[in-house]
Amino acid sequence: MRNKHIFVLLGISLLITVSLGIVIGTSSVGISDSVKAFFAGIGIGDASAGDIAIVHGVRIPGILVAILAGSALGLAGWLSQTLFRNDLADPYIAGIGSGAIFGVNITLLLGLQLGLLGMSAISVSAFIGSLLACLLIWIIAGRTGSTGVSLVLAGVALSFVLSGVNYLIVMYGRDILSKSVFWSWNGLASASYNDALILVVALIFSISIIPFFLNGINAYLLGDEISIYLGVDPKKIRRILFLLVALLTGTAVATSGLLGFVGLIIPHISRKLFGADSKQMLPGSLLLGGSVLGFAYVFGKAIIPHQQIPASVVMSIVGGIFFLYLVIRRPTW
Amino acid sequence: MKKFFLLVVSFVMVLSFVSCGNPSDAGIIDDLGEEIILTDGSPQRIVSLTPNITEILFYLGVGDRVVARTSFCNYPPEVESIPTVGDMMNLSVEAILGFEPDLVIANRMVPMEILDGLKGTSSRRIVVAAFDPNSIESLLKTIDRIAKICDVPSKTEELREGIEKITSQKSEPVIYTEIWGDPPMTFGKDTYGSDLISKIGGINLGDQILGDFPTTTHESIIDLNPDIIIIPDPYQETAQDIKKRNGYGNISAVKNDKIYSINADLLMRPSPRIIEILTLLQEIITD
Amino acid sequence: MVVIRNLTAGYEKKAVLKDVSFEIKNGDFVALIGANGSGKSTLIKSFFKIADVFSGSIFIDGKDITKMRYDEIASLVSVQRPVVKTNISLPVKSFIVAGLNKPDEARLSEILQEFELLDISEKSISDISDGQLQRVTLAQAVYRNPKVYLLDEPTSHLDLRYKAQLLSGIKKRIKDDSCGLAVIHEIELAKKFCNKVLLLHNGKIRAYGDVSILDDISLISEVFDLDII
Repeated sequence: MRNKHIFVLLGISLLITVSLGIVIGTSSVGISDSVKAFFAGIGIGDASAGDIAIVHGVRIPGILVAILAGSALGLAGWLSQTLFRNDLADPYIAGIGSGAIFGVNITLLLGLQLGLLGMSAISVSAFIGSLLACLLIWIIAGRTGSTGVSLVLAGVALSFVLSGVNYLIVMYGRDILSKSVFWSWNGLASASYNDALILVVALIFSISIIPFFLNGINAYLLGDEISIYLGVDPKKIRRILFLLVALLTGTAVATSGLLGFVGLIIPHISRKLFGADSKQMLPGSLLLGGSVLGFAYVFGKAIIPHQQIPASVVMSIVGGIFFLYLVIRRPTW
Repeated sequence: MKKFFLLVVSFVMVLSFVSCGNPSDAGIIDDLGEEIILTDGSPQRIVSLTPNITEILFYLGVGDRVVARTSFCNYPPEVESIPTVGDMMNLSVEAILGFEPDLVIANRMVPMEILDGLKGTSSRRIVVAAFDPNSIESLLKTIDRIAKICDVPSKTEELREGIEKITSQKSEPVIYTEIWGDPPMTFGKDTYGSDLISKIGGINLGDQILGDFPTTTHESIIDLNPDIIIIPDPYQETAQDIKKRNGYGNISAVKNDKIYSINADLLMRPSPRIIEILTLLQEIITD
Repeated sequence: MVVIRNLTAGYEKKAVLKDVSFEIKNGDFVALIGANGSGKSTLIKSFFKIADVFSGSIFIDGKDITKMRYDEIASLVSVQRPVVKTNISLPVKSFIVAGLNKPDEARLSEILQEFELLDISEKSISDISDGQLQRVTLAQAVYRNPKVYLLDEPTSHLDLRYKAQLLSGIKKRIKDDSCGLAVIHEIELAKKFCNKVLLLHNGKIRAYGDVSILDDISLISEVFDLDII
């Protein structure tokens, strides 16, 4: 019962975050003008065309993508911590991050025109790069029976290989470095309704699949052997979890760059607030992920005039400090 | 205690003013603040580590002394026959020394380890200088100093005359020059590009944003409402792509179809081709 | 009722159990006794194919479970092991129904009541006492109402009280339509809770009969490779 109240509170905080995202920005368009522009945009009252363009063209897609990407990463974080049965796992653990950067670098180097479904070439290449990394990891780890440990090891190894290759590309690719660095930190800068739609599709797909496996996931958490004794094939759960992590993280990366720490921290907070049961973790990581990243995004807009501190930077600094706090509080790690 | 502290601070400041406010007539000071001392006469084997210096050397008529360049150095066309030492990302002291230079000219983007390495390792003395012009005036002074180092006449007088002829527009249009679009990036106040724009009577949009090459947001671009948008050529987006961005439909530059594409090298590189870029900008502003 | 026919099982081509056949009648609670490496755990693991079944069959009420899916086997067989302190955080309630597609809420509250777990049903299994943990483990098995209770005990280093608690719990639940098989390290516990005993030696059945055969010292010392007597 206590949980229901917190979920309601989280829902409210999500609404507040959206409202803040609409009225706070990097430009001089203030709160009352923003509110007017918001309503004018949906046909109620009047506002200047410029203000409407800012609110409906930039701020709303921005906050929507931030929240949806946060939800996707929060969910992917919980799923990957479940997949590896390790509270320290992160959705980027399977080489997804460096795979995405690799995709972006190759596209910039060769000037590939990969635009698809209204997504830019960079977004598409990030998505393809991250999925290829996942696929490779899955194939490599699969040869050894695809246990959690071999997935982690293969992911770490692939990350190193790709980081090296990425540096080589940047060495000979002139100005690729600044572009891919910009993209990876600042992926939310050109958020669009299209990005939001793509995230919604990935989230709805995941959210509609997971409920069928909630008790299976709980059994899987207890270890491969016990999972089998409870009638659940751990390999099947692992396949589903891996697929969902790849899909959610790949989509988040493609639409909003590399957002560190969301996937690591959100499941921790959710576990603290609602308990580790999958039934609570699903809504918990979704709502918390959205609120936290949405808030980081809005916060980043409010500091320096005309400039946005990327949500990823806010998350890295604040998230990093929070994580240190967790480490100090739980020295058993 | 506090007063004493203030006193010390002001004393130090006075001292430092004295030391920098003393441009010696004889010595040449580079932009790292070091005096360039030539002991073996004027340099004959020059390695240029930045494209605008290569242009300046050719402008001064000492292009034949350039023994190596970076892969970024692409002007004038004659440079194609000069071997390269890589670019900013992969410079090595060894590769540069291989060309047996007596002068290496760089900018502050080149890592200090490389510059220090060049000064220290060779048995022969190598003169190392770095120049970073960030305005029209400092470009001219840079050309003067390089001319002096190479012991050739500085040809800045004709440049000055050309610049004088550029008239400035009274309407003061806001100009946004996009270096990169995701996130939007432009040049800020104390840059060569900003100085070029104010020279023709425009207002550089980036002047309002903190930093030399600041990133900004699409929201602020829409709000600051540029009258003219300049994109580099080549660029990964076309004017059409920019018009299609969310919310850009209200920007006057988009409404009035004033998006121009300009040779990126001319715009970003403080070089003797300054008259060419100023003329181009003037055409755009009066278009 | 369990019928095992010519079961040969092991790991990666190496057979640990060699051509084992026996039956467990409903109502029986069989103690599985043998030295390390005699094949006790392999026998338990064969039920779920965690050990590779090379040949032979395991029938439960006439159906060969070696041909079944995990969830089908789990509806007939419940494997429990005395749990030591875990750091997996999962609420007691969810632990009991873990792995089930459609848990029955009414049955769950019955079970929680029966095992006096109502107070801690929302607590995580990582935050309850070892004694409570054994009750929860038993509750997980009883909820499923299996035909066969299997008890595996990977190490012998557990507190005797907890083992006794679990064994007596299972003994109580074995009725006319179910049976049990438990790996037991302490002969005294076997005598107290089981009615039959299966002695394994080098992957083969050395003896199978009433618990009274445990009084045969020479037999026991042979099974455990002891030559003290």
